Amino acid sequence: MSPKAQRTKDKLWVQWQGRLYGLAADLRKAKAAARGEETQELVAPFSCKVLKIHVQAGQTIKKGDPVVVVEAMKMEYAYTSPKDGTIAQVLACEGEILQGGHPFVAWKD
Amino acid sequence: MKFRRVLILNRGEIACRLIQACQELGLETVAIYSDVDKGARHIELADDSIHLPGSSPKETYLNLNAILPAAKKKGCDAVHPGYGFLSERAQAAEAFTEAGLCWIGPSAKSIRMLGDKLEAKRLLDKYGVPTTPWGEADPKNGGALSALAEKIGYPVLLKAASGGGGKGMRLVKTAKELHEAAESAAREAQSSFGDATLLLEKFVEQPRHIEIQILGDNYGNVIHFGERECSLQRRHQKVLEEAPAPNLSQKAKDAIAQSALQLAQGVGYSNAGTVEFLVDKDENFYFLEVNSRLQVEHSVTESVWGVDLVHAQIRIAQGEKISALFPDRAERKPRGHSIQARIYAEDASAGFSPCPGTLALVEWPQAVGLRVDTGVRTGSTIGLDYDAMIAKLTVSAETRERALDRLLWCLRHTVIFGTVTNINYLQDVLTLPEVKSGRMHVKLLETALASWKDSPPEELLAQHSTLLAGAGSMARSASGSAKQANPSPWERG
Repeated sequence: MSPKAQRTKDKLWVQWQGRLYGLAADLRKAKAAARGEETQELVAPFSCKVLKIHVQAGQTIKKGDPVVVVEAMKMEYAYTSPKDGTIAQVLACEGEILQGGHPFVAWKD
Repeated sequence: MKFRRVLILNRGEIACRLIQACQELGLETVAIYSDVDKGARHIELADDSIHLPGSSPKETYLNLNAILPAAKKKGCDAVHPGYGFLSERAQAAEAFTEAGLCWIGPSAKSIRMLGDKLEAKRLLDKYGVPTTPWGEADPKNGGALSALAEKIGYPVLLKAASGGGGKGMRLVKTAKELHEAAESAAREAQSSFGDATLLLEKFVEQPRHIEIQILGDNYGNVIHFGERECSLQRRHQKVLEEAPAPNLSQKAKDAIAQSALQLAQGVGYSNAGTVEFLVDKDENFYFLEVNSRLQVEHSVTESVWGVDLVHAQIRIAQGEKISALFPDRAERKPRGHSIQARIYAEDASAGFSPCPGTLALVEWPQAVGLRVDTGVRTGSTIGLDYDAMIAKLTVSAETRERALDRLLWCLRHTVIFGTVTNINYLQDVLTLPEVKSGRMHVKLLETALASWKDSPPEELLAQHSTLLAGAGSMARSASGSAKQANPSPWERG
């Protein structure tokens, strides 16, 4: 099977040996993602309702600590911290409806 | 009495499937659609349509007050609810019937009776259907609660009487966890369903999910079309379903089907329905629930039994008898093996979170033994308002082994660009040893693929620049179809 590829905005979609991949069109980003270096931001991936916030401003948390629980399409999704760090500000409140791309928290540098 | 115009009370793949069945029987169809479903495939297939302004299910596909008068105006004399949305709302069945539209499904009375967990449990005892030992649980009466749990025997499961979807449900392994769990489950049940009533039942460890397809007519006759095995689930939702069930003795299959028939006959069930059971490793089986509607996975039953369940539903609602529809039922046996895979726009490596997006390219394989049910095509958008299912691929083959190979081949030849799907995950599910050997249980995927990740291989990244240079862009390869309301012609549905 020869590979099949198509580009949409910042993504390169590929069918490779029978499997499908959505890579970043930017090679550097695609490689970083493949190494598991996920984005260090913590944003709502889709429009959702915030059910629970586990953190508060000034709190220091570790990678993997629970941060928020959101709801979309009647299902709940829990998000954990992608890194160790300190929360500067919580940018959402419980019950709020967020658009996709809206950050949950701001980090202290 | 033959219907003239049928209201299709649904969207997506099931709306398309219902429209085909109606039209084959010479009936006109009227589809409904929300703002975001403008230009959807089911609108094109239907003879007429009703626009429901808005996008949320409440404003549109659940909006009985808007749908009912519009359907009357369009001259509909019957309605098929499909699955989900209003399909199991007794109130909807009643409202349509009172307005003179025949409900193609079980009666409001059956839906109501079987939808209430406590009521259903009482019916089971009456009709001799095995169920897990159970009792009503009162968190305020600690003594009685402990005594009930001791009598049933740990581990036990607390469930909301009027609930579903895991809310108000607690697994209790030892006596010391019981009271706190009951109080918390009651709180959750109260806030989710407005009813704090709980029931306590024996917890079945690592069960299989086996369900029986039943079909009744309006004259008290009920038959079954065997079992489906639906143990492969994630987040309590089925992923792969098959018929017949592997590694289940004929004796157990017959006993489970017989129980389902007893219940259906007892309550005078008419039209299509499914009775779900949990089966333990010793083939003991326990009633789970009844789905008073057509099931998503009905296609595997249709395949191995050589029947069309939607045709049957319509003809039964028109007043035909089971004996006229299936005079040879006694001689019929399931033939070969069929498996269905549900393709979702979701990220299996991130808790199965939904992945909305516009499908830049959709290509189904042209394959022997494949049925594709879908309501989308290149240019369609998967939104967040409804279920994220893109399609169902159902394969049929002579044996289970061949069917597994065939499904894997079909998944490897499916192309969906523009959003993340579970296609790679499904391929890995198919190659699990427990799936190959047919030794599955409902917690298998949660454990065997708990930390499933899907990184692109090094060789692929090495070709990134070449692939990018040669890649068609969405506008070019789909010749702008993504921008049109009605994109490229429907090809291989």
